[in-house]
Amino acid sequence: MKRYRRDQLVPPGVEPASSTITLGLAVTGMSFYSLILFARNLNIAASTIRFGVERRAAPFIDLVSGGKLEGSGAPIYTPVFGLSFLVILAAVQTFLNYRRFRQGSQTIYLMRRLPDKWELPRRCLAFPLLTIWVYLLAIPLLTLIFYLMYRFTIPAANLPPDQWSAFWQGVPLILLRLL
Amino acid sequence: MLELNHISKSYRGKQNALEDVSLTLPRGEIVGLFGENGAGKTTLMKCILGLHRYQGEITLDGQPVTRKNIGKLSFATSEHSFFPLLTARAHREFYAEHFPTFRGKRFDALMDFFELPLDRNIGKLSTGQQNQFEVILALSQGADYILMDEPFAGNDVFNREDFYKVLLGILEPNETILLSTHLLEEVSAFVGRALLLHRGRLVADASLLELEEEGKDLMTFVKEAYRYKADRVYQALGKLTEGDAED
Repeated sequence: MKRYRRDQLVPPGVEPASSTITLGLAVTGMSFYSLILFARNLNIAASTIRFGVERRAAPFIDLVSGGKLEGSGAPIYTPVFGLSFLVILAAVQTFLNYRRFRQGSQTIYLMRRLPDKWELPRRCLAFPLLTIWVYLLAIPLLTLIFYLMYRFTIPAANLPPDQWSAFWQGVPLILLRLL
Repeated sequence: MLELNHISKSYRGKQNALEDVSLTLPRGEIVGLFGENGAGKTTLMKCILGLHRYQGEITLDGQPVTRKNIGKLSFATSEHSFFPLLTARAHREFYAEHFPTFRGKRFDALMDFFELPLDRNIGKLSTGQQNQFEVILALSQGADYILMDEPFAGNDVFNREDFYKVLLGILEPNETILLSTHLLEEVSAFVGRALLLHRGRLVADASLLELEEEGKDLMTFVKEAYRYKADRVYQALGKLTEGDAED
């Protein structure tokens, strides 16, 4: 597979560093946003135990997806919020990248007559798709971090039974929501 | 050979920009493409380059124009197709990377001749310099057919004259130039053949040598082809002054 330099993944004249920073900020921002959503759900679950409303905490899968937790304000798997935002951001970024080939000159004429037909789509789409790809890779990592937070916050005595079977039953639902 | 067979092109809701244009461009010719504004010169070039959809058939050395042979065509346009945020040096690298036939030596020689800076963004150069750079890129790509659409718009006459001389000096026998311009008299000593478009139709195609033998110059030939009425200005002025006298 051919390897590309970073400057070959953005429209000519655009600093690859600025696209990398945008990518980093978008992924970090959305990860942080889903962390806040999860922390809110976790706080509600911990409070219900602390004040004796419930003896058993809600299963992790419910907290991370906000499924059965009333008043959590997170009806779907929390990291997916970030993903849908990133898809919109990627579409906007692709449009802006394409527009650069018509700004100041009609470079689009050159791009459309290059022997390599992938040159134009690559320079428009690479970073937007990379942003979504990096975030998709971050989702399992976020889930792991959320689970560790859950285990450290909820006392062992209050953990629900069959935690893992509930988790694996919930995964297809998460994937469906992701699609 | 670049061959166009029955090329027609219409823009949505408008009359035909090109109508049944057929012509051939053998290698090694310098061909002038003339016509009034809106005659279809730019549209014709964009059809050849595949930038517009069209009806008819265009072949390049017997093959349809595809990504495989598109490198045989280069294009210099008054709209400019360089990257304004890149330097000339970066353009050189970009072209060398994408066009295996790129002529680095020719690029360097032309940059030297026109005294253009290598390390300044092209967007910061004057319009005249940008035109020169646009043409340098088209000539250095290593294409067999070089299409130029009003490349000198905004350049002074000395600049243009230098350019014609350089062009005649550097072109190789296999290189063909299709030059669209309004500067008829200026290029008459330089083109070998004239194509005339009028309202999307090819109305004349003549070699300058033949015209010379007939004792015609390019301007006379063009006026004849367009059925230019030399006395229409006098008639119009006559009518106007007649109206003034009555007042």
